[in-house]
Amino acid sequence: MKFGVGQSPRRVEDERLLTGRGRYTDDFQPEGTAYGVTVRSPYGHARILGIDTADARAMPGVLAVYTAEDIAHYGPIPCLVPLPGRIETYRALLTKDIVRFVGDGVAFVVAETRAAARAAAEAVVVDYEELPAAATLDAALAPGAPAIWESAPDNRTFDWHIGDENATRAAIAAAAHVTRLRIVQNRVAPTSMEVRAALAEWSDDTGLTLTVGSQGVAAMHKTLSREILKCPPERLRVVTGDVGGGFGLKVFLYPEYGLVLHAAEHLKRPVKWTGERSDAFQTDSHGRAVVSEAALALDAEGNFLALAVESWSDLGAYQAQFGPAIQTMAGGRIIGGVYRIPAIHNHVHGVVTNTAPVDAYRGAGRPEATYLVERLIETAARETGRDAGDLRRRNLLRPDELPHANGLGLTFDVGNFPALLDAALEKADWTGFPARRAAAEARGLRYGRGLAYYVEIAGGGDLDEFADVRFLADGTIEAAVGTQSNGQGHETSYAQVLAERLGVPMDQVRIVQGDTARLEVGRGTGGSRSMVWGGGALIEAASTIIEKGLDLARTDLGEDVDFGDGLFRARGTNTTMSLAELAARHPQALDTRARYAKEKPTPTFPNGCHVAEVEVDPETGRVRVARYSIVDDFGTLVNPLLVEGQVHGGIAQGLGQALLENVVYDESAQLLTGSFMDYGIPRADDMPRSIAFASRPVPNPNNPLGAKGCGEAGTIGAMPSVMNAIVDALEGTHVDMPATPETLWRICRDLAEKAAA
Amino acid sequence: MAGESGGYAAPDDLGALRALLDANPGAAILAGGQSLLPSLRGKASPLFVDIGRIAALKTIEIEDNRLRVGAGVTLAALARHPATAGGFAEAIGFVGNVTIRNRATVGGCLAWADPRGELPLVLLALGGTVVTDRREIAMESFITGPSRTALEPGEVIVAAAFETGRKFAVEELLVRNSTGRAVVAAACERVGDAMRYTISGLVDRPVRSGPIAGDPGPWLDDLLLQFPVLADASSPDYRRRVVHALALRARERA
Ligand SMILES: Cc1cc2nc3c(=O)[nH]c(=O)nc-3n(C[C@H](O)[C@H](O)[C@H](O)COP(=O)(O)OP(=O)(O)OC[C@H]3O[C@@H](n4cnc5c(N)ncnc54)[C@H](O)[C@@H]3O)c2cc1C
Repeated sequence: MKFGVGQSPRRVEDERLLTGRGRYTDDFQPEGTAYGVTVRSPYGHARILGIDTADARAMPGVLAVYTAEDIAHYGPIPCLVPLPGRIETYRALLTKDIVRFVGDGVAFVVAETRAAARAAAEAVVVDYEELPAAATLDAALAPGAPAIWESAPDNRTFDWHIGDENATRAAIAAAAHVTRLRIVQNRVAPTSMEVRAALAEWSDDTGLTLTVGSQGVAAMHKTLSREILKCPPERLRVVTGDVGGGFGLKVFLYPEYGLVLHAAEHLKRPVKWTGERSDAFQTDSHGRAVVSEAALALDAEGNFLALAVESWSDLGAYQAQFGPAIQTMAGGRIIGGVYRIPAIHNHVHGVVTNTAPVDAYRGAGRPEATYLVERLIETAARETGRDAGDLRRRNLLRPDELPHANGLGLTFDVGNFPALLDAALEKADWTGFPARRAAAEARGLRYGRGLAYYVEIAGGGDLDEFADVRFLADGTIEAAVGTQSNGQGHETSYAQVLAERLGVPMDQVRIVQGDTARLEVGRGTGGSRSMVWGGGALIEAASTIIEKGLDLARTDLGEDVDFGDGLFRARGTNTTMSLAELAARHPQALDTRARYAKEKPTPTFPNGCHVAEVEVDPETGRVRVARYSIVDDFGTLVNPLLVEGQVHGGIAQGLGQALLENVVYDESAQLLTGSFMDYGIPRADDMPRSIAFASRPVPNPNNPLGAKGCGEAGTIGAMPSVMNAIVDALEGTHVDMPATPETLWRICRDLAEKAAA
Repeated sequence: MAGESGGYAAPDDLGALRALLDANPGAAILAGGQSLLPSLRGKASPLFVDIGRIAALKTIEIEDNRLRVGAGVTLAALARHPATAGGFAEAIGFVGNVTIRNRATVGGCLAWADPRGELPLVLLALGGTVVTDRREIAMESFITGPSRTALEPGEVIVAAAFETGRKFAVEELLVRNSTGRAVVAAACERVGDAMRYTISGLVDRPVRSGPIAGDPGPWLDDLLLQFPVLADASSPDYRRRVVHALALRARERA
């Protein structure tokens, strides 16, 4: 079948994945595999006085027990964020003297079986002296708080500003109206369906191979070989099989990956570590976790004048690989959305706490930014008696104002924000709302509506991506791309792009990924970048292949040839040769490695509008999302079906954070939400019955597909639209996430008492 | 210690089961395993005595107007039986999800005695009986606290029995959030001019009222004085109000 860009073939990977033939990391099972288990700190903050591994070593089946001393020659896991003045917090693969969060690794046990490793891990005796802990931002910032790092006595590791502070302050002081809010972004656990796992193999000839669930093998390879192992790059190969969800957490390098490599080299046999769900809750990087004070200034007509934000970003116990970038470089520059705001100032404090490290989670800073400004705008509309749609329309940048520099280092290139807003309002039947509210109220329910206009920065800091295309003897065109599907469906959408450009049926193209031996370069998947950059690399490769093909066809068909529909044709004749025939006649001659590159970062700005309507049952506090409508501008859609699926999944995660999810530590920094019994994630019955979705693309002029990225957008729009709707149902009463039934029930009761009084 | 196993046995009849239990006082009856196995995570496991092969525990029989359900019958099978159509099946439909209901058994749910469990709630609402290998225990006195029952050591539940043809309405609220789960439920049955309520999720066991003509609120307040409040992820005050609201809604439909 010929499927090109813009069509919706079913996912080619699904037959494999749905019939149990996927290969996730734990499915790789070489002969003689030994198993590792991490001994973790049960304390949030403690000094290690001693570790006794003698009993564990003596247990049956135990091959080795490693502690920090055994691996002292490896580098720490680096934080890669270049913020000026940032204080370092080094994280070794195993902790030597101080544990800083529940789950911090102190020893690594390797045994013949998982059960033997687990039993021996319990026999490792660690002598701890418990230290006072600071589990929350408030605790860490309180006077006299315990210092988690000697180098950062006040638990602050950086102080970041952007924008014009004086102009912002002056505008707020002179404004007709100022809306102020304190916003708490709850800490969430990413809960990928497949937990983390890693398998290391050793060979005397080729060195080490790591099989690991990642979001891109090249980056993992680079950090491991350069920073951790400090080995020549050719002595390490990194492989990623199928990945059951990443959402950011699998971009990063975790201690176990270095530990299995060490053990495999030391024991000269394969060593596997497969996390359990409790490992995941304790040690996968968490998301969000930021508290902000924000002020939005308006003139008497409702024009935005200034936005001031001060945030405290909870980084966890160690600054994770991108952790300090999330509220700053990633999200901090888009804090005002696509609104016309003459003066913006954003001030972010980086704070360490005795909790799991916080890093990128679906959206990484952009959901936080959008949530903040959209909650502010909705509140401003209520406070000044304006329609929430009108207030946004008045302040959204118009197409004739683009490109627009936002004063924080971003230039919005293209888009038609007011038109998308209006399309979304129409889709949501904006004017029919009062009747729906009246009907719900007649049934004893409270009913509210919330709006959110989001903008994303996709493929933010990137400069290039790679594709490597080979023509195999059986006629298959095999394309390796330097990104990594975690479930998004790249095997389908990339095949559509390449097949269309080469004029071949889609099933002739096979997409491969995740092996540094096949393609050692690539930027991986994250920040909604894959289609823009990986698609770009495939298009680059296709052009090169066609040029090479024309050269070869000239020798075979004569000087005057052209290419179309997969055929090389001697112009003016009926003599043609297919790409497959040409490839068969000239083995390997068409094989192409392509680099798609830009001279400076050219992010795209996916944007759109979400409208949610919710019912709140005042007697129980239960929320039901009654209606949900979206109009998105993702630029060109390669596969609309897959895009819509990404949006639905994104909404589930945004709605989960809004209604249910919350990582909770107690005062002594014990994790209270360490399993799915305690940590609520959304289920099918929490989702809206239906989601009305439409695409209104303004293609991006800076990449050959015109794509903008769609992976994170659903999450970004869902949190503010759902929360704005809940607040609306509660007559404007402020609520933070997660909006639990008991919280809402209390508010309903208070409102009813006030009304009766 | 984790991973250590006490072994596994699967007797074919009640006699063999009795013999195994008598010979191994530390053994655990394994029914659907949906509560027992998660509770043993990271702990040494006992000898599991799987009752899944005992045919006598899997029957559903009607004697006069009494339904007798074998302890090994799954919740899914029970909810499909015509005699449970209506409030009974609806309540069971609230249990976990379909894979849980396909495994969880009548005997397991009763022995585990989750104070929020749906099966104990409806059996109590119907004035049912727990049939063991030694005696019959009225549902009223079967659950004696959170995860506590009137069962003696080694006593085996063989069936649950209840009167058929009685109608009640049931309402439930499941609150999942990130400090745990809270479930409150209320069932209401019409008795002449009055109503009889059964509720769970408020105090440490499910409780049934006598006939109440008016507002069930005062009865709920009394319960809080009579029994320890159930420790849960949400406040007792909230649950008291919600269970009241659910009771009134059930009354509308009863
Ligand atoms: C994810 C999840 C969600 C759930 N949600 C709900 C819910 O919403 N509502 C609800 O009510 N329950 C819920 N459950 C619990 C489920 O209903 C349990 O499985 C049930 O309570 C126990 O039944 P079982 O057959 O699985 O018993 P098992 O787990 O096998 O056994 C439980 C206990 O009963 C004992 N036992 C079993 N059979 C007998 C017998 N015949 N005589 C004496 N002792 C016996 C066992 O030794 C053990 O101590 C949930 C469980 C899970 C895992």
